[in-house]
Amino acid sequence: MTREALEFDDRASVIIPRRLVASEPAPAMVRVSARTGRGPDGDWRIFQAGLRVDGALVLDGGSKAEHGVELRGIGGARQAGDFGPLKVWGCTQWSVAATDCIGLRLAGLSLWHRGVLLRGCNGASLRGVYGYGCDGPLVRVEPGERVSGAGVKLYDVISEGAKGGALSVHGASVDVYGLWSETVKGAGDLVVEATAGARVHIWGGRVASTPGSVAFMGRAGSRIVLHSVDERYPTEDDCDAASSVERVP
Amino acid sequence: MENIVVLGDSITWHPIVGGLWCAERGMAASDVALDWFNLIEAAHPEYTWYCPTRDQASFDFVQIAAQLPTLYAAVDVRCVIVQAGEHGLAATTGLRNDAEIASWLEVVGNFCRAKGAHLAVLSRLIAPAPPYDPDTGVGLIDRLFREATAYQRGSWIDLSYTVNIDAGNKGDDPCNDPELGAVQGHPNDAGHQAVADTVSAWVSAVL
Repeated sequence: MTREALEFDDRASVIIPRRLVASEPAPAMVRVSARTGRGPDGDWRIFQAGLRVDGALVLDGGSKAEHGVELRGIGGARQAGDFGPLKVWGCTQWSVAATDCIGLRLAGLSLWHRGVLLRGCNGASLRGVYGYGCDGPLVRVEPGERVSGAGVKLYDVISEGAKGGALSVHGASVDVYGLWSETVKGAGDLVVEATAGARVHIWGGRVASTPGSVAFMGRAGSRIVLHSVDERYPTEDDCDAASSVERVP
Repeated sequence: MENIVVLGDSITWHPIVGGLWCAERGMAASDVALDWFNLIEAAHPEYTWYCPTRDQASFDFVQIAAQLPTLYAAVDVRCVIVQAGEHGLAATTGLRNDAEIASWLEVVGNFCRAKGAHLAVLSRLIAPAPPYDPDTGVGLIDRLFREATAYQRGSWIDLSYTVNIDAGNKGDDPCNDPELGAVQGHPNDAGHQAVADTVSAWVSAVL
């Protein structure tokens, strides 16, 4: 495997080869400029690579793949630019699973059935995240083995019917700028779940959960702060004694 | 001074059309100073505002989107705001299905990325009746626009509940012409003010 950049340009479809997705040492940069990417097993793993996707990357997990895209150690100085846009559906665990990606930037995510996991991705930013019918949270943020998952920023998160909430934060700190959450056919009433000392600030957006349902859940010393969030219908908070949901006009 | 481009449909600007509309302004405001574009332009003089819909005397937003690189080749654009949700899945526009919505917004998104500009997309002005159904009718249009907006890394500005022309903000024939038929699908003065206020708050907070 070379450490030079690998590029896929001007193709109708792209096969990301196994030697690329599971090799050491990994290439310095992967560049995919095609409209469609299809992996051999519907499961992509890219280790220690600066990653740049100039065109759209469309991944169909076909209900078999564990993760649509698995990213490890991407970000920071290795980063070559925003990763996205990206469409993923039909996975069994996560559409995008990122681990230890400090300073990762993802933009333009359209995720069906499963959401995105950020594990130990301090300083990561996601811009434009759309989720439809996710069987779990649309975005889950949690600590990694070495770092806390602090300083994650999410811009314009749109969640429709995520069964595990638009946002699930465990022991990490997250700022959300624009959160739109809509209940779909009885799913998606839970909007934010925070545990293990998590800190979540949400600036603007709208929550439309079923009246009387639990939209915000805090556990284990967590804190959720809503800044000018339009709560369209009256809902209830579910917090333990050490946790809080605060509303700032 | 930084520049903002607003690309819209008849709510942003509409020409005089016999039997349909009697003025050159956003339908159905009662005065040109009261349509949402002029309101937000007045509210944010720190920006120079461009409205190709008005300047091209056309609300063919599909065609104008393709012309943006030419129209603003010499202009540094900070943000593009698009307002066309009411035409999603309409039979007579270029946004007749999900692919056309996505393609149109991609054209605008490509322009934004070339300019290093922020993209903001306004929702429709009608609140979905609960329970929200994203697979049919109003809910389907909202979903398609939301998904396309996120995919283009844009910001979603939801007006459906804050404006909601079905809840008292419906156009009421400001031209005083009983022959004009289309105004009720458009916001009245209060509706235009609500659009301007919501977008203004976003401009102040984000840009």
